Amino acid sequence: MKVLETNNLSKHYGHIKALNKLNLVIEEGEIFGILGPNGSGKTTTLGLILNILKPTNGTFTWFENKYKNPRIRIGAILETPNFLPYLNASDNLKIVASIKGAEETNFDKYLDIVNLAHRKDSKFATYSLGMKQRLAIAATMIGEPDVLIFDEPTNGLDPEGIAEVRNILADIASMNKTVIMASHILAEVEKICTHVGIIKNGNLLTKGNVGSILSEEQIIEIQGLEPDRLRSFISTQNFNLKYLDKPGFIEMHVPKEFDATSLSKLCADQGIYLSHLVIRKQNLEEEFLAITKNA
Amino acid sequence: MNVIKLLKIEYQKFSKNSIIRLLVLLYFIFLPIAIFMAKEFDNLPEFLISQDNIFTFMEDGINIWDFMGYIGNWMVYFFLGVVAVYLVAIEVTNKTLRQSIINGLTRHEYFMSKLASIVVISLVASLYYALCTLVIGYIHTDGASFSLAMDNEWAIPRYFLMAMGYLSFALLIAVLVRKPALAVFLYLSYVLLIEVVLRYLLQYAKVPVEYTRLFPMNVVEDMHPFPMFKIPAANMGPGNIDEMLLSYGTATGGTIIYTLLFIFLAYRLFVKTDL
Repeated sequence: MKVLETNNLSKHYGHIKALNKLNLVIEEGEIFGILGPNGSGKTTTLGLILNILKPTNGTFTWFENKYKNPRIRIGAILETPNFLPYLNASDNLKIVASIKGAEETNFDKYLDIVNLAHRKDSKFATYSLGMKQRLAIAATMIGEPDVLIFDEPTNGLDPEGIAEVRNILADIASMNKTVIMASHILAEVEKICTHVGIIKNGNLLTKGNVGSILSEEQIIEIQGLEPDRLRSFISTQNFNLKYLDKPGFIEMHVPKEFDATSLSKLCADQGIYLSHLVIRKQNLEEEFLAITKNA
Repeated sequence: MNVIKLLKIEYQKFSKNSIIRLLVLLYFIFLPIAIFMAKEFDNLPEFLISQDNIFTFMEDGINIWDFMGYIGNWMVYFFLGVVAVYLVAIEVTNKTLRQSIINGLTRHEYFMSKLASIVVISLVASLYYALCTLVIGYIHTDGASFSLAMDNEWAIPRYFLMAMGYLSFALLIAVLVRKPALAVFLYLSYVLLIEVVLRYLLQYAKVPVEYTRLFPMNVVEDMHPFPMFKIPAANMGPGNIDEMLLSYGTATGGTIIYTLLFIFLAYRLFVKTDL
């Protein structure tokens, strides 16, 4: 089932196009990362699909229009954890349950997941930022929603808080729910998401599963005992590939079917022995920079 | 979602809020107490006013319903009006307005929860006004009958409409301004100052008083006006009552129209804007 489908979804503020004709389909079970720099339109996208913002143009449908009020089936955090400061965690979660029409009165299982059960009777105002964020994550799970939406879930947290939230998100991702997560942190998306859409200046640049975006190219780093000979030998070979001279090694971007063993053998046949050979996937960070640079 | 469920959510949100608790408590305390300050007015000229007027039921002339109504006018304007502003403003500041929509309320439902809240507050405030007036009136009136007690020119429904007038205006201001301190300031100062100044300026520009006294908060105030204005002897000459105050019929019609207008505008604004 298509959990979410957007059709030319746009939001303009005057002449600024915060989001420009977004077409996106998110299928059931995907952990979809919306990746982009700050101010690229991630939060605008989430605000629109959560009915907080009114679209300038375009439409979106949840669950193929199967439900009258789809937001009851969505647990979402937008930007900040939003709770009443003078109420404790339990009272705040009761409000969420009432809105969701959930019968639950005991929220311990959610508070346990986010490690807050011991503070459930403390007022929200007394929480640290990390605890607030964790409470918000707990709140998204009330009423067993089909879709969870997180917006920059680790933003502003200290390293310990970041690690904690990432672990929680990884746990949630393994619960077979559809998750939509906006982030500008690549490692986060790379670790947690199955699919990714890259967005910049309100435009969707590319989308697909994380594997397909990453596996187009691989990178080989080599270094030899005689760097100058190696360099001049490589430059004479018609590999039809771009290579970069980096301090201490040569970096080559090669197609994924490229055979590193034959490269090694070729060099050895010339009497050039490699002291260093690393094959690695291009990571999302490089991919991201490459894609967003030209946009 | 039905109105009872929406009200339950409102109760969950605000029953533990200390500012709202305090304001409601002050209304409940001061409404019945304030009238006893009149005991200090022993030396008022008899022809103007007497203790009888203030504390007893009467067939004709001003009586306890008018005095309690006028006190309640201030109490509702101040304590409960600010509560109405806070019902929206607290949720804007803490972004729980946003979160309520994200969690699944439609904008229509959210607005209805606020509207239902001010209706319930106005209703409870009016019933409390009736209760306090009846109790104080029975204590001070010798041989009061229920029919005498209820001879009050629809004071209780007038009180309810007055409360709805103030609270719906407060709701509109809160939706419009969305900053709690500014919204409270604007609400209080509009009623007390801004409208008065506007009316004065228009009168200065030779706009007849028949028009300027139709300003919204003046209309609402005249649902339970200052009782002294209704004593002919207190005025400069015959006919002055009409210049000072709107008739109850006009005030009632005006209040209903303004209340509906405020609610309509607040609704339109709320449904259309980004949150």
